[in-house]
Amino acid sequence: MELAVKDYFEVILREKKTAFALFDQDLILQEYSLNLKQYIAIQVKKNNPLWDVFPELIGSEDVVKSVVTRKKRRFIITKLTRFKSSGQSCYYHLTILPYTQNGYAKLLCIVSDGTQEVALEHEIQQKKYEIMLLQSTLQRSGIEAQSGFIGRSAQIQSIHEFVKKIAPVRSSTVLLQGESGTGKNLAARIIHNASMQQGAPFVEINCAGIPDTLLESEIFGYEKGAFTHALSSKKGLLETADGGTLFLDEIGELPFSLQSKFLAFLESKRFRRLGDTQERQVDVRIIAATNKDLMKAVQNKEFREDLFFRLNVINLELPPLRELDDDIILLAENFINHFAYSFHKTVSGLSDSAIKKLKAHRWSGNVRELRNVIERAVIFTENSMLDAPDLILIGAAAISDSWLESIQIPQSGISLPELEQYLINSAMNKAEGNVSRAARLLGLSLDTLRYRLKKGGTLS
Amino acid sequence: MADVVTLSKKICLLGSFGVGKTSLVRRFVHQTFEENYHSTIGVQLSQRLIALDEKAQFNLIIWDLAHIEKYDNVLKRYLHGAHGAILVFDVSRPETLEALTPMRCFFHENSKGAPCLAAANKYDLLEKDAVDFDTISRNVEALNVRCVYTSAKTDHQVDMTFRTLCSMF
Repeated sequence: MELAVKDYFEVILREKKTAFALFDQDLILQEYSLNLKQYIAIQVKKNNPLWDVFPELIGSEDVVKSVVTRKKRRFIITKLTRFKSSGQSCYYHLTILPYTQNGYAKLLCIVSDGTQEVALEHEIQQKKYEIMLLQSTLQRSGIEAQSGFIGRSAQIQSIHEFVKKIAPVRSSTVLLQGESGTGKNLAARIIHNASMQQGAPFVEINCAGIPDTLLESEIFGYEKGAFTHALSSKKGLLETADGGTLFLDEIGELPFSLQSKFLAFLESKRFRRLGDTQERQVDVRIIAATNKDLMKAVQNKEFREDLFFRLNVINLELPPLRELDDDIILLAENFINHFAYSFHKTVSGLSDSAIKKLKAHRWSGNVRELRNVIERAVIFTENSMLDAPDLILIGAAAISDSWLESIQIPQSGISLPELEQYLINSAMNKAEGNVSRAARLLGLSLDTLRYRLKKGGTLS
Repeated sequence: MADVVTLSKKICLLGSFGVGKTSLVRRFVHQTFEENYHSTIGVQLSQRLIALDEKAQFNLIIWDLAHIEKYDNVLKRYLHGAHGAILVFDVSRPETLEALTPMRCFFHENSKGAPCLAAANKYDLLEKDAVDFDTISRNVEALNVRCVYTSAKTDHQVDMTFRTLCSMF
């Protein structure tokens, strides 16, 4: 009969997701429910000491004593879990109570399942902390972006100084010049971040990317009925950027017809939307960028001289990558960290041969080219460090500046076909007559070199 | 052979979310590491024996506590009777070091002056120049506890951190 009652009791405990353990006054296990081990992830036996069954009570000996002697009514520890090698987590709440049996003081430990209630809390918390971790990462990269370009060279240091000086002067227009891929866009964002309050708009427009006919309405906006398809009024980018920065990339491509209107805006900070009679005023910092020689464009009557001088109040020339020496490696390592993180790869740096290869390349595509080379290498490499063969450099093989500078055109001039033939012959000699190897030395395809060899009469 | 005396000690790991408390415990107890982040709710309990000498060993009951959002009675119960604590921060997130000051104070108030030390975790990031070493050193000094640089990922000084705390009992 007693056994039958105990069976029922076990069923009830399982249903109610509760387990128990009863300890005598010496804190030795006397009785326990069969489902106890499901929570505490260890095998229990009669006569086990309390501290082996519930190590979470180690350190709380004073509390346990108070409960057994009924000085304390109960002690509860919530949301406990034990590490399981299976990875499954089972949460429980532990309550200890005084208990008297046949006149003897005992300790009753009740374990109640908390897995379900904790699961929901865990799901919410996991998402919350993941978002906070991502925000923290973004904030860090923001701080890095504010602090400037990566690099220790004098050129990069002077960019840092430049940004520091112009940041407080919000009203000044800035002109960024430099080859394609030198980071003009990044420079504009750095200046914006350094000089504007958090949340101030940064609006970017590529003057070469929008048809001439649309550019005016994009920048200045329009009123309903200003032209055939103007069915409603629309704010221009100048208004969108109010309180922040308008970055005009490839300003050299701004149509000549629009240049005078833009100049008028720069002078007064006032403008009219297309089809509007009302003048509007905005507080916008203008940053313009170009890879063109604007002075030359002025001479060729492609760019207004007065606009050039109005834009050229503060000018920053961004250095090409090939002039940055060791900064190339710093940048490359930065991209490796970035892409390794993005692609979940364990690539941690560059081998000596890879460093040599990067330093020798001419980087006509500048930082953008370097970024693409590293991205590709990180995706395809199987190594923990990028090696020279991982770096696929497009275009001509690396030529050092000193070698190029050593070539001087004589007063009498040279024959380019003869020079070409000379280089082809030198490559063939170096490659010991192997056409494929010579083609690689010259950065040509096998077919192209064959054609040129035939043309020069070297190959029949 | 003489019986080995076992001394049980409760150790609490405290620190902000995502600093790597659970990773340190996993590395110390199970010699494993997982890249993915799994937040902890309440307390995750682990145990490991550490031999002191031929005659004695510590049975470390490690309380890996969730990120502290409230300094309340639940937290007091978690910390009750702790013999020591490891205050963990992430070297790449300076705010996690700043967050240790109130945790350290609360721990001292509720554990009768049990020893604690700081674990500057994710040291592998420090090697990549991703953090400001000088700032960390200054802030750790202000915390006024001994600091060990650790990496659960590369297993850098993890064992040593727990052993150092044991030497302070």
